[in-house]
Amino acid sequence: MDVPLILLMSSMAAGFLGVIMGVGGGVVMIPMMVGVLGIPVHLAVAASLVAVTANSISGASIFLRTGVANVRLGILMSLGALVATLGGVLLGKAAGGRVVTAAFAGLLLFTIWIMFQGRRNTWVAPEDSDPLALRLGLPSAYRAAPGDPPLPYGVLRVLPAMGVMTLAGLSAGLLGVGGGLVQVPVMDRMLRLPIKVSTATSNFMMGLSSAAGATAYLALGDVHPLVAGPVVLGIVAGSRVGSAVAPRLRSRHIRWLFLGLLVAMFVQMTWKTVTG
Amino acid sequence: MNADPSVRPLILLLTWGTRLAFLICLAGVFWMFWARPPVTMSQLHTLAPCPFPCGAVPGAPLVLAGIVALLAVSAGRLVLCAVAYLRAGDQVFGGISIGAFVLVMSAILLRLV
Repeated sequence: MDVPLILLMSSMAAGFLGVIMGVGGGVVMIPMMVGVLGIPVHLAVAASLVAVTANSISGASIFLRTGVANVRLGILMSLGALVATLGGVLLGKAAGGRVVTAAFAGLLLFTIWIMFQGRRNTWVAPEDSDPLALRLGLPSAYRAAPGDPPLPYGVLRVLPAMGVMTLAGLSAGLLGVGGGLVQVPVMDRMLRLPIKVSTATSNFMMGLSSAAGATAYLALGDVHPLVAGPVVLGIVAGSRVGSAVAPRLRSRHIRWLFLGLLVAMFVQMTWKTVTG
Repeated sequence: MNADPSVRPLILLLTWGTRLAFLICLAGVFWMFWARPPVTMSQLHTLAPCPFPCGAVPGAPLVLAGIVALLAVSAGRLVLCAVAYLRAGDQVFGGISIGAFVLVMSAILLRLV
């Protein structure tokens, strides 16, 4: 079978599974590209970053139209993440493939842990916000559903959250994943945003840090069109289907199935690290 | 409710810019399917970086142009935000947006490293 067709189909499956599992397409696609298809890790990371950018901007207009994404907060939080993304690209190039696959195995363990964490989803009133958040006009409001009354929310701990967001940027640049696994819990637990706002703002931010990482890999020649073209189209298409199907699929059994898949990917990436 | 001045221009850029970029990318991938790339499954592990325009792969210039367009839309959001904030008199967020855009664009400098 043709290489582009196999990449297209496997990235569609990865995009679909990534959305259903709530971890993003990159977390599934990179082990598939590196471990199963044998694609060099830097080319896989670069293709995944382009796909994350495409996924983010194709979903961002929906979040903006519904007024859920907090654009000001997204841009502010991106500052630390952007610097770390570029650092992650340089680190990945300097350290070589084994370090990247080892770090990815660590990320998979973190993903397994995150899948079993509950969400706090309690938010604060705008007047209780951090003084810096008030000065920058970060508190806002959103509607839970069209026609509902606006729900105002405040923002806490702006500077510490910006610091932790650098981890999301580092994971984007080094591992080619969107960073939502870090961003959403930080927004939920540190900034204390409503979960819908966290998800939408994280999606906005993801497009910025992944674009910086993808631009860096493009400048270095690592965005290989044979890999990146089918992967971008496949992940976006698979994610769209996954978003439509996800609400009907969630169940306890599927959660255990995904846990098994993540453990298998962890073993595979660890094996790849050991064997080179 | 959401009085952020950047939202409306952002929606326009994201909707139309993304559609155009996807179309270019899709055309490149179709060309790739049609012309059959000179790489088999067993050779995937030997793939080396292929800088722009990557002429050895059929359809590559179109795919790369689509990818550049996608990245430009994503980074271009920050320019739009900066303009919208500055026009609304919000110099702090105008400056922050420009700073973020400069950071994204500084990735190009890695070519020189």
